[in-house]
Order: sequence, then C-alpha cells, then structure tokens
Amino acid sequence: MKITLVTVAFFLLSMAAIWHTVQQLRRDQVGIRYAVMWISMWLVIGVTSLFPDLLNILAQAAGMHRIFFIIIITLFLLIALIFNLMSRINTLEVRQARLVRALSLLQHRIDVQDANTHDTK
Amino acid sequence: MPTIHVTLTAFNEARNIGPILDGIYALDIPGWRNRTLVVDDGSRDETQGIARDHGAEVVRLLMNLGQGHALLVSFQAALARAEDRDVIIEMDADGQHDPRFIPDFIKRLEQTGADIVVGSRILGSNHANAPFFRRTFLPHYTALINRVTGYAMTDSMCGFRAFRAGSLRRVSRVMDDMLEPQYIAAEMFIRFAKAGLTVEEIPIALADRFFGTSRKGFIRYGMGVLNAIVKTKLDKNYRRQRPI
Repeated sequence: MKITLVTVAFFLLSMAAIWHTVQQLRRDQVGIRYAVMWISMWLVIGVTSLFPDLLNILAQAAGMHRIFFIIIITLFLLIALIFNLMSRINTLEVRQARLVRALSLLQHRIDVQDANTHDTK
Repeated sequence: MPTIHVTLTAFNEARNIGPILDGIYALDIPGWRNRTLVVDDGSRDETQGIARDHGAEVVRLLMNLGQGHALLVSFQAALARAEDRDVIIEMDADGQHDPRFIPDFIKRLEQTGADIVVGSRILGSNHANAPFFRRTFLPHYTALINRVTGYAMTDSMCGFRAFRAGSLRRVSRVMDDMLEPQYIAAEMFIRFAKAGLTVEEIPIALADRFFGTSRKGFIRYGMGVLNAIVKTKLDKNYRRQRPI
C-alpha cells in the first residue's frame, strides 16, 4: 500500500464532504435518510482511497477483476440513487398536484363567499 | 328545474373562450337551465377575466397542472353546487367542441338512463377528414380501453362528455384515487367501469380550433394511456374498489 498526495487529497475531500453533510443535517437542509446514505458513500470513498488494497480483497471475493468490480458497484449505486430520486420526485409531484387542487378549490370557495357577502351588504 | 353544469378546462384560451361561452348561453333546452364553470389551468393570458366577463364562474388553479387535474377540479367544483338530477358536461375550451351538441347529450342521457354519454368523433360526420394520427391510432387506443373496461365505445378519448351529477357524486372517492390525471380518459373509464357506471355514445363533429394549435402528440399520448392502464391495474385502491 502506497500513500500518495492524491490518495490523501481524496481522503481529505471525502472527510470535508462528510462534514458538509453533517452541517446540512444540522441546518435541516437534508433529511436523516439521505444524510446517512451520503455519509456512507463518502466514507467508502475515503477509506478505499487510503487503502485501495481493500478493493482487491473484495473483488477477489466476488470473483471479478478489480476494475469491473469498481464499475459494477459504481453503476449499481448510481442507478439505485437515480431510481430513488425519481421515485421521490414522482411522489412529490403527485402530492403537489393534490395540494394545488385543494388550495385552488378552497380559494374559489373563499372568493364566492366574499362575493356573496358583498352582495348582501 | 334541473341544471346543466357545463365545465370547460382552459389554458391560455383567451381568444377562444368568449365565443364558446356565448354559444352555451345561446342554448335553450326546454326544462333545463345552464350554468358554466371554467377551470383556468394557470393561464398566462386573459382567459380568467374574459370567462368572468362572459358570465362564467371561474376556478383558477394556482399553477399549471395539466388538463386532467383541471378536469378533476371542475368535477369537484360542479358537484359542490349540483343536485343529483343535474347533468355535468365536460368540453374543451379551444372551440373544437360545438355547444350545439349539448342537447343531444341530454337527450341521450334521458333516453338511455346511462350514467355517462361520450361524444364520438369516429361516429361523427367529419371523421374522414380527421388528421392521419387520429384516424390511425384512436381506434386502437379505444379498443385497448374497451378490452380493459368491457365498454363498447368507438371513441374513448373525446373530451366532450356528459355525466349524471348523481353518478359522478357516487364515484367522487374513486376520482380522488386517480394516479395519472394527465391521461385521465383511460384511468377514468377503467375506474368508472369497475364502479359499475354505464356509458353511451352520440356522434359529434369536431370543428377546427378557433385559434392556436394543440400540443398533444399521439405517440406520447399512447404511451401515457398505456402507463395509466398499467398503473391503475396495479393500484391497490383500484383492486379494493367495489361496484357502487
């Protein structure tokens, strides 16, 4: 195992990213579920940049060449992330549409009541 | 006296909406009175003001949601005022649906006792002159929906329809469950068929839009219909739904 300037830089960058995620969590800018997910991902990147041999062990255990192992794991994580985000966006869109429909009808009822009150006066 | 609640969903239809509303008010159907309701789907033009100036009640959506969502709002707003013996007519606000067909819808509802009467462009007099994509794809979309619902429609996608207010009120919970309001025709008929509502048709001729162009593509529409069918069939609320 050889620690170079680049591996240390990657490790420091991932630690900074973890710190930033924790700050976002404190400010309520990210939910606990996503904070845990991002912190885990940055931890994996940080640790494997310092100890790249870990990947060899995992790749051998999986019976794959190291580079394919990295590509497959990365693709899997990215696709899972995109799927999760798309599903969240879809849910939010449905909720937003229902909310806008309900609010619009409520606003309309208020307008009609106001108009009736003015007519009575 | 029962009321015909004519609902129009409109998005940037300032140039079309006035003449359509005038056409509706010009109708004189013995034994019925008219009421118009426009749902303005977040238009950026003067649609809302012009509709009000022409005597329509206007519900304005706080943002543009699409025709299906606007239609659901129009049903809810119309049902808030309608009695069960009333009729709710849904029509487009682009000038393609001629209000002079409204008496035919009422007559058909009275003759057949159906819950819904759908305007059929296929049975209409000018279908031979319809655009290629409509002539080619529409029968296939309708056949697909007929297969799923058990209805025998010739045109399931036409937005000119009449509903008995009482029937629509009975399925208002079903409408709350709708998942794909952008392609509302497919999902609506699937859910209404399971609820046990009956459908009849009348022929209608489709006029040219007064102004502007339609933005709906038939391929995209077909994908949306398929998506709506699959989603509805997989929906747990649909599976639990019982005839009303």
